[in-house]
Amino acid sequence: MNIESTTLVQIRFVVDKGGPDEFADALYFTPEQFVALTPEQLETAQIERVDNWKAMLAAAAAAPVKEVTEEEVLADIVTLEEQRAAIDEQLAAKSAELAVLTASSPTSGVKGG
Amino acid sequence: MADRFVIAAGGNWSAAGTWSATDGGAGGAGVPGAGDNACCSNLSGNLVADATSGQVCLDLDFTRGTGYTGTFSSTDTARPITISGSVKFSGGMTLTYSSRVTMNATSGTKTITSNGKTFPGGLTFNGAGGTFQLADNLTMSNNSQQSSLIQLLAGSFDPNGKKVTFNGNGGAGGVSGNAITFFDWEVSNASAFTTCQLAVNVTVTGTLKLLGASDAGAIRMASSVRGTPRTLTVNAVDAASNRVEFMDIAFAGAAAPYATGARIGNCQGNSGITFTAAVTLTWANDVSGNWAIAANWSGSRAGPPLAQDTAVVNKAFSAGRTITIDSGGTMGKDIDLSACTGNPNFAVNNAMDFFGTFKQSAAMTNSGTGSFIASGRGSQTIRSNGVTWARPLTINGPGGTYTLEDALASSASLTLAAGGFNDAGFNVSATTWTNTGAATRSVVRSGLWSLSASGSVISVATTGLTSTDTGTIKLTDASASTKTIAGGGGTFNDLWLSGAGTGVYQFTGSNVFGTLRADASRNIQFTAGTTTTSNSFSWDGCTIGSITAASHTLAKAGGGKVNCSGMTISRSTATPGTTFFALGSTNGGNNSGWTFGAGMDCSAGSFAIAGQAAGLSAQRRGTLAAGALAIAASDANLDLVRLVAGVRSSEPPAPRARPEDAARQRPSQTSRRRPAQ
Repeated sequence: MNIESTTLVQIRFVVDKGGPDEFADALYFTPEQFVALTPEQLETAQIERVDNWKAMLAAAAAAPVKEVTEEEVLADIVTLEEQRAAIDEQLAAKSAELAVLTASSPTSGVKGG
Repeated sequence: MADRFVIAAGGNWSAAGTWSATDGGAGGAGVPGAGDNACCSNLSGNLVADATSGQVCLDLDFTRGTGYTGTFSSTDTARPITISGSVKFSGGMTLTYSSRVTMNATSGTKTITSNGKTFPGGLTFNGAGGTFQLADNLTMSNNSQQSSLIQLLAGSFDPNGKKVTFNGNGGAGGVSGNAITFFDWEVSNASAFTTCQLAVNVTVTGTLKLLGASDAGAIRMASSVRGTPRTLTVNAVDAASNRVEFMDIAFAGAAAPYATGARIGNCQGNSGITFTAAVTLTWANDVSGNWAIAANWSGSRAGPPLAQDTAVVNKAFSAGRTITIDSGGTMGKDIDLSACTGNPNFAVNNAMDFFGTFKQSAAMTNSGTGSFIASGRGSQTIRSNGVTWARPLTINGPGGTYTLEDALASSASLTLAAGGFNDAGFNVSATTWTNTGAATRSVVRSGLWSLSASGSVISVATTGLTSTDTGTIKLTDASASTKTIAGGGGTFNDLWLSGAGTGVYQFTGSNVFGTLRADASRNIQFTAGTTTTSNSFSWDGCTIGSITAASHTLAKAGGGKVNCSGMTISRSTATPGTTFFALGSTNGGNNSGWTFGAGMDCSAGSFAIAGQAAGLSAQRRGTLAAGALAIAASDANLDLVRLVAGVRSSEPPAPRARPEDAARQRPSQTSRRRPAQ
């Protein structure tokens, strides 16, 4: 194996593929680490990722409703102000655009989530 | 026109008793009208602007007598005053009013006289035909409470050769309305990182001074809209300017390019600025410390990292180390923590931008009260290395796309405000998914996303959004709280209402799904008047209804049938007709298009015998094929459908695949990536 020392090896793996708890993740190793890696060590690392993931989901499901902090509210306000400014700007631009249009043409956008 | 004086005892603006017709006289003259001067003298007590509306006057004058020495305050930041005349503060007064003063004269020249007082509120000029002129230098300080320190909506602003200073301490105050011209303009701060947001272009005909108080307390000059540059046209720059960063600023004029000071940060989207050369800075020692302290970094230039720098933390830390990230606003460009060991904790206690890639270490944690703002432009990546993100992550880089390099697990929220987010097929977990604003955004989802919160668990604004969705969103909250799916009329691939518990799943918007599925016993409500379209409605034993007492519509797309059982359905219009069948279900009333009491539609030959009925999930099709095919083929009737349902429910769970399979295929699962830098 001739892997440049400036590369990392990505081990991409999927557990329960197609199942209700499909888990896709990746591990990164230096070439030296990768060459020394045994299948057992790799399996252990993958299982650890899966188990940590499930533990995190379980903890999230069991977590109490979080209290919002003042800092978070202030940060939200700043974000909303930015968004409002953005929307105002777009509204002004669209209004100007509408004003100069002599005829409108239908448009379609790709929406999603 | 009359004068109204605040009485010696002072009082609230809205109280008639606060005002006297004479200086030093008794109260009860009534609240000033738009034609009355509101006056304070050396004989007046403290005045509190307490009303949320209706506070008006002609002149607001604190210089009567020998000058006001009391305190002018406001109950909070939403007690506006509208002034048709001029404003005069007294040098001896205490000024803590933090709301907004609007000057609305439509003719003549009205003046603002500060007499050395710092104004902690916001100023709006909104009088077409009026001129609003500075009588002396104006200093404003309320960045954290008024988003626009100066707002020019109508009329003319005449700086009159005077200096305007924004000297806030935190926050994001700035300039808005119409383009404005200053003579001398200073933006500085007392200590904390402060943003000056430009919602309009600004011209400085005199000298511009931009000065952050410290490395941790820089000034950010930013457009109010990320990705939309504002032009800052400047005649000259004060030589003392330093510790400033720019975001979406086009610097122009005789002073261009801006190049004053040793620390000029590039938060992207700028032109006409010569930035401090980017370097790589490395966390210097095995110590706890603050990200924004220069002594904690080593490199070819003093730290902390500027917005264009690469920040590397690769120490083998001793146990218990904490790196606190709470000031400066900017972490750097590329943040590489991947090589650190010893489980240091990165405590993020403010909204912190990074402008490039972010790599966590497998041997670290993060915590705090702040958030991560991924603000890079162009192609960027995020590598979690199995570490849970404990703080909210917001993608907010116009023109940028963040692609995951591995699974992203967050115990906080995930938000897309600008730019793109690509899960690259990896799992994503977060409390909520918010896709917000009107900026250009893109989402590529092909992995499984698990969202754990109640409340507004999905909130999507579709303006400016494109989406490529082949993945699944799974809602897992198991509480009794309501979960809101505000799809914004968007299109999703697979939405799975999984979380147990009595909490209602409420949909808003007319959304489109590839598959809309729910585990048994889920209570699902749609907004009345909306149409929810899906290629597959996959649910049994659930309750379907509307949020309010009117009907919603469920539309089956792609042909085929919708077959379900054990449902309780009300206020539901199903379309097209003879498509929705509810076996053993309760008709809660006000439904149409549903066929109750009947099970799957076997008559048209589209029953799932062939495992191809479009209305059934892959898992259900598999069950039918294995257990019910022979029976159904010989006697397709409703009772058999019940039997099929029983077979399915008793089926053992699918065995969990182990990662050995992946390990065996290792050669095909590897790829080369550029290294950590």
